[in-house]
Amino acid sequence: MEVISVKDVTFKYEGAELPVINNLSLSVSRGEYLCVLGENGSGKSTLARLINGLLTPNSGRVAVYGFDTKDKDKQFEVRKRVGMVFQNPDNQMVATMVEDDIAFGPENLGVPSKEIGERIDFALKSTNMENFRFSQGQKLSGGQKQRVAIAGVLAIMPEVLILDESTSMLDAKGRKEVLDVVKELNDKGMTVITITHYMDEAVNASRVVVLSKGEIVKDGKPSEIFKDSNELVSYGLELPRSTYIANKLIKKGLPLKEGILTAEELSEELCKLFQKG
Amino acid sequence: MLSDITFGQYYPASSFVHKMDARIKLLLLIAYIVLVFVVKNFYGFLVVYGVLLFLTLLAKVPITSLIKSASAVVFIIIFTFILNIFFYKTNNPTYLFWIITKEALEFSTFMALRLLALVFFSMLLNLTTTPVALTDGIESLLKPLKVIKFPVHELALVMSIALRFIPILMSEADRIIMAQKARGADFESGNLLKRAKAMLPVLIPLLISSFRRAEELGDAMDSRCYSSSSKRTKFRKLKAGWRDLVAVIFTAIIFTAVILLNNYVGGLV
Amino acid sequence: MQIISKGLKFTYNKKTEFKRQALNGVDLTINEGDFFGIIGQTGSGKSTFIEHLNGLIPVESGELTIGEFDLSVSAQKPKKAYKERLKLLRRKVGMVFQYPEYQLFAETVFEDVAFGIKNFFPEIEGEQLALKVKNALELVGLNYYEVKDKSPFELSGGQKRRVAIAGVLVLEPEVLVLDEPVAGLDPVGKRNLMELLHSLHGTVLKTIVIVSHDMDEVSENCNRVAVFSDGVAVKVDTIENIFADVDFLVKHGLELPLTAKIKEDLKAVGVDIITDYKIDNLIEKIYKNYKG
Repeated sequence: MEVISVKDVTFKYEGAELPVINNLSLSVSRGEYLCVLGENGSGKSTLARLINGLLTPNSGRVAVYGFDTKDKDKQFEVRKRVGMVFQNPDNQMVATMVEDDIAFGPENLGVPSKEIGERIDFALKSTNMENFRFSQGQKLSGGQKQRVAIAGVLAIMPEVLILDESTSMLDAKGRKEVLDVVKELNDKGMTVITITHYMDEAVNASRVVVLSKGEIVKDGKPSEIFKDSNELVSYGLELPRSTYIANKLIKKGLPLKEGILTAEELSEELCKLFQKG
Repeated sequence: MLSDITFGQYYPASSFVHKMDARIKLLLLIAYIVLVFVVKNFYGFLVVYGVLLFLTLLAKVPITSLIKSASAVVFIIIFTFILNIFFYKTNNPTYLFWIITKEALEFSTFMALRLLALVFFSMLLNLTTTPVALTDGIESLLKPLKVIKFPVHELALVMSIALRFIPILMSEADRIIMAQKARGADFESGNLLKRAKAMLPVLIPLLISSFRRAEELGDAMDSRCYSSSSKRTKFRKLKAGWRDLVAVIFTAIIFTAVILLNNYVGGLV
Repeated sequence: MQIISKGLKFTYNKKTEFKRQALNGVDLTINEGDFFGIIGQTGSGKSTFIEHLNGLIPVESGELTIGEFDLSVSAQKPKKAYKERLKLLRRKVGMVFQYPEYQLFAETVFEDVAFGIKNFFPEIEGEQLALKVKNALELVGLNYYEVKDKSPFELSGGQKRRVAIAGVLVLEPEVLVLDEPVAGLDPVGKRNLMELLHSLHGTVLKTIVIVSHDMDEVSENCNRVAVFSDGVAVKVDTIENIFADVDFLVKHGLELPLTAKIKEDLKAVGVDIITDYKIDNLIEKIYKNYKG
C-alpha cells in the first residue's frame, strides 16, 4: 500500500537560482525502511520537509495517505501521520521535563489528559526511556535526547517516522541507541524514512534512494546501490567500509560473495575462506 | 562555566509544598510579599523568618540551597544596606559613632531583612515548582485576560521555551568565548567601549545560532501539530486540593498575627 | 614542541553545588611529530584536557608543559608575565573547536581569517596581512580571490569549516588541536578534510592532536592514542597496541574500528594478521596471507 506519493515535484527556495528538488517522483510503501542518501546540498532535507508539509512544492504534488500537503485544512491530517525528528538534539524540546515535552504533541491535537498519560507510557517504552520520565532534558546525553524527540513524535501516533540526519550530532553509542529504537519500530510495522550521510546506516534499510542535485539518481536495495563505487563517489558518497574491503579483495582475486554490506558478513566470509584454504 | 547556572532551580522532592497547586503557590507568594512589607517591627520578622524556616523544612528543601540562592543578590542587599546607613535621616538621631546613627542602622537592617525574605520566599517557590507547572500556573491565573485578546497561552509557551534555552545558549556562549580567546581575543582589558566591541565576535555568532535554533525548534513544533488557535488540552491539570486550603488558612493566620504584632508592639520607627 | 602532562586535575565550579571533577590526574606525553588521537566516552574529560593545551583553562593542580611553556600553577606568577607567555603559547598551539564554523562572525572571509593576526600582531597590516590571509586560505584549499570578499555565511558547510580552520592556521601554529574535526560533514567532506590535515602534518604543522569518537577515523589517521575514562588517561600508546587490546576498549565503553574487528574474528579461526589497523594495509595483509 502506498503511503507517500511524491509526483513530479519541483521546489525552489525563495531567492535561489536553481531548484533544490528537480521534478522528483517517489513512492513509499507501508512498512518500508527507506534510506535517503546524498551529499550536503543534494536536497535530501528539503525532500523530508516536503513530505510532512513543512514545505509545499512549487509544482507537482505530494500526498500522504491521500492527503495533499498543499491543502491547508488537511495540514494536521498530514502531520499526524508523518512524524519528524530533526538533527540537533538540543533544538527540539519544548518543555524542560521529558514527560511534559512528550505531552506537547497530543496536547496540540486536543487529546484528553488521561489518554495523553497512556501515550506517554507507550512512547517512553518504545524508546527505552522509561527511567527518564521525570528527567530534565538538559541533563540527558545526545542519544537520550534524540530518543526523547522520537518519543515526542510517537505520542502523536504517526504511521511514518522521518529522521532528518538525526544521528549526525551523536557519538557512536548515541547513534546505536537511536538506530536500535528505529529498527525495532520498523519491525513492528512503522514506515521509516531516514536521511543520512552515514553509509553504515543505509545498510539497515530495506531500500536506498540516492539523491544528487535534487534528483533521484539511484533507487534499490542496499546491496545493489553499493555495487558500483565509482558512481557513488561521483555523487559525493562512498561505500560502507566493509563493502570497500570486500570489493578490493574480490578485485585481487579472492573468492568472496558479492554484496557484502556489514562487518559481520565480511568477517564470516573471510573466516570461511581461510578455514577452507 | 556559565552553563551550570540553572534557571528554574527545581529541587525534586515529594513534599506538602511540592504537591500544592502552582496557582495557589503563586498567589500565596504574592501574599507573603505583601506581608513582608506589612511587617513593622522586628517581632514581625521573627514570625516571617519562623514561617520561612517552617516552610523550608516542610518542603524538604536543604536550607543550604536556599541560602546559596541568596548569594546572587547579596551584593544588592549589601549595597542598599550601605546606602541606607549613610543616607537615612531622622529628626533626633542617636549617634553611635562617626556619622552612623542608631536609627539608620536599625532601618538598614530592617530593609535588608525585608529584601532577604523576598528572595527566600521567591526561591522557595522556584525550588518546589517545576518551570512547566509555574508557567502553567501563570497561564491559568492570567486566563481572564484572554477576554481582551491577550495571548496568554503564547506568553506562557514563550516563557517555558526561554527557560529551556537559556542554559543551552549560555554553554554555547562559553564555547564561542573560548574559541575567540584561542584566536587572541581579549575580553579583559581596555575601556568599556573597547570591551563592548570585543564582545562582537561572541555576540554575532550567538545571535546567528539563536536564529538557527529558533528555526529548527519552529519546524519541530510545527511537525508536532502546534497551532495556537486549536483546542489544545493540558496533560497536567492544575487542581487545588486540601493542602492548598490548609496553606491558605495558615497564611491568613500568619497575616493576622503580624498585623496584631504591628498594632500591639507598634512600629520600629 | 613536546606536550607533557603530569597529574593534571581540574574541577568545574569548585566552590558551588554544581561541582564536577572533570580531570582526575592526567599523565600523558604527546611527542613532536605525532598525529595524536584522544578517545573516550562523552564526559571522560577529553575536551577539558585539550582546553588546557593553550591555557584556555588555567592549570589548577598538576604539571603541564608545552615545549618551553610551563603552565603549571607555580609558573602562573607574576600574573602579567604569565599572560604574556599565554599569548605566545596561543599562537604556537592552534585550537579548532567542534563545529568551528559556528564561531565565524566577520563581514568577509578575509576579516574573519585576519582576526587572529589583528589580535596578536596589530602591527601587521596591508599587503603583509593580505599575504598571510592568502597563505592560510590556500593551505585549506580555498581560492583566495574567490572567497576573500564573500560573507562567510554564504559559503557551504564544508567551506565554512575550512575558513574557520584557516582563521587558526593564519597564526602559523606548530601544534593544531582539533575537537571532532569532521563531525557533521558528508563522506566526501570528511575524506577531504582528513587528507588536508595529513598534507599539513609534517609541512606547516609539526603536531596534530584530534579528539574523536569515531574509532575508524582514529585508527586510520593517528599514530598514537590516549584513551580517556573518568578524567584519567587510562592508556597512552601506539595505534597497534591500543586496538590490539579488545577487552580494554570494551571495558571503557569504546567500539572497535572495523579493521580491528576483522583481525579479531580471523584470529579466532587461527589466522593471525599483523596490522597497523589502516584499512588499505589490512587488505594487503589479508591478500598476502591468502596467497602465502
